[in-house]
Amino acid sequence: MLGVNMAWRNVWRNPRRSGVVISAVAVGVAGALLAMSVTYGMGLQMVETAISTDLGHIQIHASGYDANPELQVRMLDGGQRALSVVSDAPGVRAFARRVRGEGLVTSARASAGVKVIGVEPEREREVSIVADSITAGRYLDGTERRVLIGERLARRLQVDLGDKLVVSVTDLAGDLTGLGVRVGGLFHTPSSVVDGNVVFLLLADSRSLLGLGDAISEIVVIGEEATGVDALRDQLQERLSALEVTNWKQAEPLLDYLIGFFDQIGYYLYGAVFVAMLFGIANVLLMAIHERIREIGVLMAIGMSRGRLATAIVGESLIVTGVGLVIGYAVAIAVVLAFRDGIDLSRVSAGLEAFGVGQRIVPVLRTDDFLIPTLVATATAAAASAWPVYRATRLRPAEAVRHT
Amino acid sequence: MFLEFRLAWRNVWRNPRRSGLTIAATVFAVVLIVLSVGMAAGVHEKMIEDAVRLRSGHVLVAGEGYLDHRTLEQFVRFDAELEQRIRDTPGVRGYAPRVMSFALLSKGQTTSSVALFGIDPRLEGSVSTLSGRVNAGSFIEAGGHRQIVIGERLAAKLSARIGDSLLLYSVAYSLETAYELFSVAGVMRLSDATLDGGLAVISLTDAQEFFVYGDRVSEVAILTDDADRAEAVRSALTDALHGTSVEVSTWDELMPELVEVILVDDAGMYLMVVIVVIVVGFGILNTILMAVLERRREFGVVLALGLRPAAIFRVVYLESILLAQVGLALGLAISLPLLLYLQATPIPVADEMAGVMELFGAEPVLTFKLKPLNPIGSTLTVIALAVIAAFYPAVKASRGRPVDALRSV
Amino acid sequence: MTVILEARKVHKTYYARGVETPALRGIDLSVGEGEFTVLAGPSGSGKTTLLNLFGALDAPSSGEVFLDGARLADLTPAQLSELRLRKLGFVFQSYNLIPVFTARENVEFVMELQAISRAERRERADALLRSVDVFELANKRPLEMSGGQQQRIAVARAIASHPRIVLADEPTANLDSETAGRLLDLMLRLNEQEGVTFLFSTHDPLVIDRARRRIGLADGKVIRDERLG
Repeated sequence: MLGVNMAWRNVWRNPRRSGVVISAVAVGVAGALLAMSVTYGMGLQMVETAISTDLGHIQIHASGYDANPELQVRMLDGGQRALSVVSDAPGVRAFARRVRGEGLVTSARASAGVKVIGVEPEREREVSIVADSITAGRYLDGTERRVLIGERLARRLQVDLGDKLVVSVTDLAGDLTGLGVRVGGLFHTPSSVVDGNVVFLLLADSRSLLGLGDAISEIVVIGEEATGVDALRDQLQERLSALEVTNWKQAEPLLDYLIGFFDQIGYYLYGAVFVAMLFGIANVLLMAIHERIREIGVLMAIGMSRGRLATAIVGESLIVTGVGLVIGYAVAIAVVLAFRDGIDLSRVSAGLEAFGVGQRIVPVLRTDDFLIPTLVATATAAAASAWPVYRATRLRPAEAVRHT
Repeated sequence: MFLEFRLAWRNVWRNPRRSGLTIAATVFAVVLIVLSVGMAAGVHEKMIEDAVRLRSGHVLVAGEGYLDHRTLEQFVRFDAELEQRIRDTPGVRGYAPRVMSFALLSKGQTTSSVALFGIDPRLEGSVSTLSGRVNAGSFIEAGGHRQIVIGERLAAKLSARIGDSLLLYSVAYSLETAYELFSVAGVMRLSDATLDGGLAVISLTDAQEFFVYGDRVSEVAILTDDADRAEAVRSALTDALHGTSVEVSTWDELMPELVEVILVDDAGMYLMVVIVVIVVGFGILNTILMAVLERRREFGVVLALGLRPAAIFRVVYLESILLAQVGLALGLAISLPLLLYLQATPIPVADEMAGVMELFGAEPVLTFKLKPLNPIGSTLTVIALAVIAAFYPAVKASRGRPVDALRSV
Repeated sequence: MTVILEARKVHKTYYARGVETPALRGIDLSVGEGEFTVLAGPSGSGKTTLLNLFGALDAPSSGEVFLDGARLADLTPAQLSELRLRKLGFVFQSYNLIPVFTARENVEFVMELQAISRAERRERADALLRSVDVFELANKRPLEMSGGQQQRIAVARAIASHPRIVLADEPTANLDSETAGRLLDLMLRLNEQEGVTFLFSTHDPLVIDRARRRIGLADGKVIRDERLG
């Protein structure tokens, strides 16, 4: 413990010098952590938006949908078999049936290509945030031939609440057909894709429009907990072997990649910060050794072993880095807490909404975010002390004590 | 000043290892800045270039309100006079009239909604690279009749092969239902996943007939000699077309999402650069501070000999700037050739990263671009860093008292 | 005889951590041109403090110090720098050569501050190095020399600017007696042949023996002031 004790004393011997290193480590760590928390928060929000506006945690389709997502690939029984399993399965919070088709929506002024999604209002409310995102009119309430569209689509079609639209599709039989509807509500979600390209209507309306009879296209499931989704999927797939059960990662693999991609960027950042820190720490230790050559000579002369000397130097490096890390963590946590309501990014919201990020990003810190810098910083501190240790332990006491 | 310079220079080399470490940190910062900025510039320029060459052009002539609504209601009459005026505007390299709308495209029982481009095959090539992206069959031919070219993913979805007939269905300008059979002339590979799965191209004349559009077009996309000239061409065209009911816009107004994505991306990159620069700055501050503190007595001596405190301030500053300059010179010597090499040899990316880039509408290639502002900015950053980092140590040094010189060791 | 340095009723008290330590308690003293004077006394008698005040390196707590008729308290820091540059030469106990400069550059340093031309500087520096017998070390740096050699160069540096007076604080303290004797002979020669005025602070008998005027200090007061031959 002698070495460690000495290291601790030496750190505070020149508080200004240690202070500069500590602040460099703290700034680097806090900056990297914050950058990490913002990108992760952004990624999380993209996933959250995709899940809450469209994907759900788990999707159940007729077999073959993943390879070929068409109208023909449908559940002829209206999803009854799947529903009975899903409603009994533990860990399921909500589920809803949907019909998905593609079509063209036409107003008196313009037309646009859209996804036509038929929903059951009562169940859909539980799985999607669209019901909570209504900005004008009302959510679907069972009235036939009323549709919900995003504000973005409404602008493009130049329509308002109550205006008439024609939804045109190719039905199951391959015939062109249309349905006259009125705009019953407008919504604004964090996703410009959903806001600009989707028409929501009653499941019944969509079935008759598309000639589906009793069939449906999919069942979306929201699990009790986001973390248990994979297990829930496996369990549902096992009991519904004739159907295709996917989780959101399988449905939108890019989203999953994106999170990994953000993490990679974070690792580069850590790498860059710690390389920059390496120089600073090594420099300070070298200086500290240089000005203590005589002292080290005395210590060696009175019998301190090289091993203990090395411990003292490595210890000094670790203490300085450790204190910097802790301060950096504290700063990062404080800032993340200060922004727990999100960072306002309305200035660039159009660009972000294209990827399902809303106007506010809530930074999120994970435990892993602390683990990596701690490991890397420790390694950095140890690496930075290598050269000084080498220098110090090679000193010959007789010469060192005479050093001025 | 020369004396101060000499003192500073000698002091830099007095402790070569320490100076070496500081220089290494600076080199690292410079290389990181130059390459990050170079990569961002390259990727962004490519994104803009791709988007411009795929869709918007640098400048767009369209009917009033087109940017907000993008429907058939907003149109331009593309007559000989308009064509002549555009052609006569200096800086215009190419122009392409287009009809843009939406349609449903069906084969058998499968239907997909598509963005439909009606293009003039003789003119389109002067603006967009669409024709070059065909990787099976051929592009729309001049004089061809009812030909359609679609994205690869769309073709897969519809199981459509070259020569197959597809039913195109939409609503005409007259608001009547329009449908027609088109035969697949070619399939193109587009990096943007949304377009690849949802774009169909037909000829301008077919589109005008299909939508009952007469000589109207939705837009005339214009490619300028140089992206930086877009603004100049826009104002020239605005003047030339004064009195007609058209709107002239530039690419950044046409694609605000792209501009913002670039903005967000840049913000992230600069955040990283700033963090690293601050960390390096602390390292430099520490080195200079230590160098100053261990020379307290020496500064006392030169003060006693009659050097003014201001001169000591300058010596410390010069030391810091010299260190920074050496680091800068080395950093630039390493990073600029590397950047130029990378500019000539883009790095293809694979797998997940490629997927992410395509999601952002970029080709899965890391491109680099050296812009003059990059080395200039790096130089200024490093000098600013040295100036800021040396301030405290320099003040500290110049406040040294000559009495210190007389104290014995 | 022209008076170069003068102290009138000078007191100096140091304050450290709330404790007052009087170093000088009422000094009245003047040093004239051409003198070779020592301030002698035990440690703590105030000789270094007095030398610092004469060198415009520190300010008295009360009383006045004059250099060449100018009251130091009236001068700005810039004027003080100028004063040190033009009128004062220093020789320190621990030599204090600039470690990054060669012997010649150290001697040239003060002249360079005075903006003397390069050629003249060089010529004079070489002449000075010859006169202090270390010309062969002109291109060496301080760390490559012995203490005696460094101190000779320090003397050359001190007189390079033609100062009115050279202040030497314990110049022989780090030297063996033989080297110290030779250094003193050198300074005496400069005093006699070139008329350089020296003021020493020391408790080295070797120095005290050769002085022309001995000022004895004890407890911050002048207790003795004798002129010899």
